[in-house]
This record gives sequence, C-alpha cells and structure tokens, in this order.
Amino acid sequence: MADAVALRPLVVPVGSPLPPNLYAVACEFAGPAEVYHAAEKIRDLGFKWWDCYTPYYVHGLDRAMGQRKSFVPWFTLAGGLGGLVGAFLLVVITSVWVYPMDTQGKPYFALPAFVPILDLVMILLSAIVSILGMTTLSLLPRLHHPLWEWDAFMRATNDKFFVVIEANDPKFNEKATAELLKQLGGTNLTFIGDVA
Amino acid sequence: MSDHGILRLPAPEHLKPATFGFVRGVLAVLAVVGLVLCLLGGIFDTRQFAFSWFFAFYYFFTISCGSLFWVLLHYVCNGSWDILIRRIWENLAALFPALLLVLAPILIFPQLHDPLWAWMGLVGTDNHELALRAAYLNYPFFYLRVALYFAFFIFVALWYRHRSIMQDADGSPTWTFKLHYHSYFLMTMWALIETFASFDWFMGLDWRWSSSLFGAYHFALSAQAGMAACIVIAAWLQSKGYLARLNHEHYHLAGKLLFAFTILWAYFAFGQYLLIWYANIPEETIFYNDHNRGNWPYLTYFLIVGKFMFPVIFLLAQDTKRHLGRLTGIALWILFMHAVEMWWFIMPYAHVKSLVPSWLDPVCFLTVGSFMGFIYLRLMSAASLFPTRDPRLPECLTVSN
Repeated sequence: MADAVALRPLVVPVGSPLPPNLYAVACEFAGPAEVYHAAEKIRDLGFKWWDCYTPYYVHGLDRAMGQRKSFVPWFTLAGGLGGLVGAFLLVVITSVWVYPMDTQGKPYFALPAFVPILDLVMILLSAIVSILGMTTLSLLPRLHHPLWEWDAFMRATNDKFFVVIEANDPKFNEKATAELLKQLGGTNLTFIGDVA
Repeated sequence: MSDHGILRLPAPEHLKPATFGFVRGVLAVLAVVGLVLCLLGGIFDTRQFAFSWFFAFYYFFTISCGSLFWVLLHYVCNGSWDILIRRIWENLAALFPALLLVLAPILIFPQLHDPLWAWMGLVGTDNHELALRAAYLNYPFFYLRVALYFAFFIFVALWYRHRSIMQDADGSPTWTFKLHYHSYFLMTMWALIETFASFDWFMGLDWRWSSSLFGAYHFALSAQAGMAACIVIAAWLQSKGYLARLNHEHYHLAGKLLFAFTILWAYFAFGQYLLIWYANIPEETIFYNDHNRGNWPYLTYFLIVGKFMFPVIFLLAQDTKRHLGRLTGIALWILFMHAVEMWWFIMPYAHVKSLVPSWLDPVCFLTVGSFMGFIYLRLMSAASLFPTRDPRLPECLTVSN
C-alpha cells in the first residue's frame, strides 16, 4: 500500500484526482501583460502564498503582486554598521594598545590612516550580510522544489509565464482557486504535489 | 502600464512670460545694483573684490562645467532616462559665454589677477621657485590655455544645445547618432580641459602647491553641483506646471546619481588629504596648513559633516530620493554647501590669519548669480523646455527602476 501511494503521480492536470501532499495549483500565461493583470486580480483577492515566474524581469510586476519593499536593505545597513564598528575596534585595539608602532611620527590613533580600512570592511561586510540575508529570506539554497517535477515549468526560464498559488494559503481551495486561474486566462492548469 | 494604451508624447513646452517675467525683472535689477556695489568695492578694496568676484565666478563655473559633463555622459552611454531634464543641463552649459564675460575683468586687470594668482605678480622678479616652473607658469601660455578652455567649453556646449534644438524641429534621429559619435572624444577632452582649468584657476591660487588628484576632485564636485542645480531647476519648473511627465522614477534616478557623486566627492577630497597627510611633504601639506589656521578648522569640520555625512545619510533612504520635496531640499542644501566649499577653498588666500567674511562675498555672489539667472531664463525661453522629438523620449517617459 505504501508503494502505491509513492507511485501516485506528483503532477496532474486539474480535474484528475489530487496528487499526494498537494503543494500548489499552477497555470501558464502567454505573455507579460497577461501575467501582470492576473497578478493584480490575485493580489486584490487577498492571496498571500503565491508567486509569478517569468523568463525576464517584468517592470512593475512586484507592485502588481502587492509586494512590499524588500527587507534586504536592513541587512545591508546592519552589516555595514557592524563592519564599521568591528573594523574600528580591530584597528584601534591593535594599533593603539596591543602593538603601537611609531610610523613617521604619526600619532598611534591616526584616524586618516584607519579610514580606508573602516571603509573597505564596512563595504565587505554589508555585501556579505546582504547576500546571506537575501538567500535566507528566499529560503535558499535548496536541493529540491516541488515545481521542478513539472516538465512544462522548465519553460519559465525560456518563453512562458507562470502563476503558482500554494496550498498553504489561507484562501486556498483546490476547486475555487483552479477555477479562478482559469477565469484569469491561465492555461495548462495543473496540481502540483510534494513527496513529503 | 502602457501595454494597451498608446503612449502619448508630451507637446513641446515653452516658458510663458507670465512665469518668469517678474523673476527676470528682479534678477536684472539685482544684477545692475550689485554691479554698482561691486564697482565701488573693486575701487576701494581691490584685493578683496578680486577674491569675492572669483569666488562667485567659480561657483557658477563648476555648475556649468558639471552640466556639460552630464550632457556628454548622456550621449556617451546612449542615455534615455534623463531626456526630460537634459535641456536644463544644455542651457546651464550654454552659460559659458556669460562666464567668460564674468572672468574677463580678472583676466584683464593686473590689480585683480596679481593678488589672486600670486605667481603673476612675481613674473619678472628673480624668484627661484617660479623660475623652475616658468615653462608652465608664464603669461603667454596661461592666456593661451584660458583661450583654449573657453573655446572648448563654449563650442561644445553651444554645439550640443544647438543640435538638440534642431532635432526638436525635424525629429531626425541622425542628430542623436551624430552627437553620440562625437561624445567619446569630447568627453575625454572635457576631462583634460576641466583638469587643467582647475589646475590653472583653482589650484593656481597657491602656485607652489600641487596635487595629482586635483582634477578628479574637481570633476566630482562639478558633476555633483551640476546634478543638484538640475534637480532644483526641474522642481521649480514642475512647481510652475511644466514638465508634467517628470515623475518619481526620474527623481529617484537623479537622486541616486546625486548620492553617488556626494560619495565620490568625499572619496576624492579625503583621498587627496590622506595621501598628502601620509607623505607629509612640506610643499603639499602647505594647502592644509593654509586652510586650518585660526578659526578655519571649524569650517573644515562643517564641510565634512554638512557636505558629506548629512547628505549621504539623508539620501541613503529610497523614500528621500523618490520624494520631490525632500530631494529638492537636499539638492538646495548641497548647492549651499558647494558655495561654502568654494569659499573655504578660495578665501584662506585672501585672509591668511583667520576666517573673515566680507560684505563683498554675498554681493559679488548675488550679482554674478542674478546675471547668470537672467541669461539662463533667456536661454530657457528660447526653446522647448525638453527635447521634444528625441527618439528615446518614450523610453524616458516609461522609465522604471
């Protein structure tokens, strides 16, 4: 019996029996304008757990999806300030107390000489923390994603536009949501399941 | 989104006399009254007048110089976002003939240029240091260079403005390609001319001092001033009901560049200081000694806080750059700090011991400023306020970032 469950297909067209561990209902759109207007309607209906997949950046799609400004700049700011303070402590502790060296008669606490180090460590840390923050917020890196089971979806990096509404959205209902995507002009409506 | 609708291009806009007639009248009166006061000042306190007049000249020279940079940069990188505001820069750069007129008294009268560029007063004396530099610092070569600078600035600025206005008439994309084709060479020339002009006029205030980073420093402050002036003028035009298609996306992009050039200015200004401080060679440190006597250091610290820290922190937030009021406010502040910096740079050579403001500083500044404003309004009303038939105008109207 367990084998039978595992063999049930993970990707089925809408209308067929549901796949195991339903992840999402997905559909295809022909172009950027269609996906843009569909996104506006889905946003207005109050969906939270959903996403659009496009082969290239569609200007204004983030606003059509009702996405708020990214949180990543705060990571950048925190990394930058941390780098600034950390580098300041590093150079001041080493060159003023731990290992003071008389260089050309300059004072031990020589702020102009420190500035390039402060500047560069600030930039380095803000960049590293931004990338880490961005990948963390995007739940990356990951080894597998349910959508990758769907062969048609591979064209998201080529010439097709997709909208995927996840099953854990509070407003999700497999019949009503699939019907909604159909009304919005989506084709190739598909249920996506997950292995666990 | 413009997916379904047809993008409507804005009609050419011309400045209505009702908008600027009063302003222009006020500027004309101010310029004439100021000129009389300046003449009196020039007669009774010639030395101070030379410095104050040069301060006023240099403030507006850097703005025009930076504006020409932005015009050339637009063509060098096939820009499109700044087409709606490009005419503002073209008009600012077209002020070079007026700037030549402003500099003319200093170039002509030895009573004015001898105190200003001290080496000129030493020509003919047996000054050993000057003799070593005589190949560069001599009258004929200096005037030849000044002629070359102004010939370049005036020709390029007027040529680019003229071709851009011709495109308004025939709408041919050929003009865009032609100006693009020439822009690479002219941009290189601009950098050289701007560097040597800053050497001769600005660094030449102390002819014994030299800094190899000076051209870059001067470039950053000019471009920053040009961008700030453009933002302020665009905001003024919008408040009068022109340039209605200019939106927060354009301001965001302009704000980003203003932010970048604020940092670039600080980078070069500090880099120059750091290298000189490190090497500690007397003929280089002389500049910072001259600028930090008596109560001058307070002004130096004010520059660091007011021209770098405050604008950078303020412009860091995206909301500032997308908000017209805030962006205009910070652009005005940067223009004010630009005047402070010019004053900080020039005046230690007039008042060696300590910081002494003179009544001639604001009077000369207002006189030259009113004159520039008067000419600027004439230039602005002579053509449409933006390039109406630039082939990339639709790209500019729908820009998003």
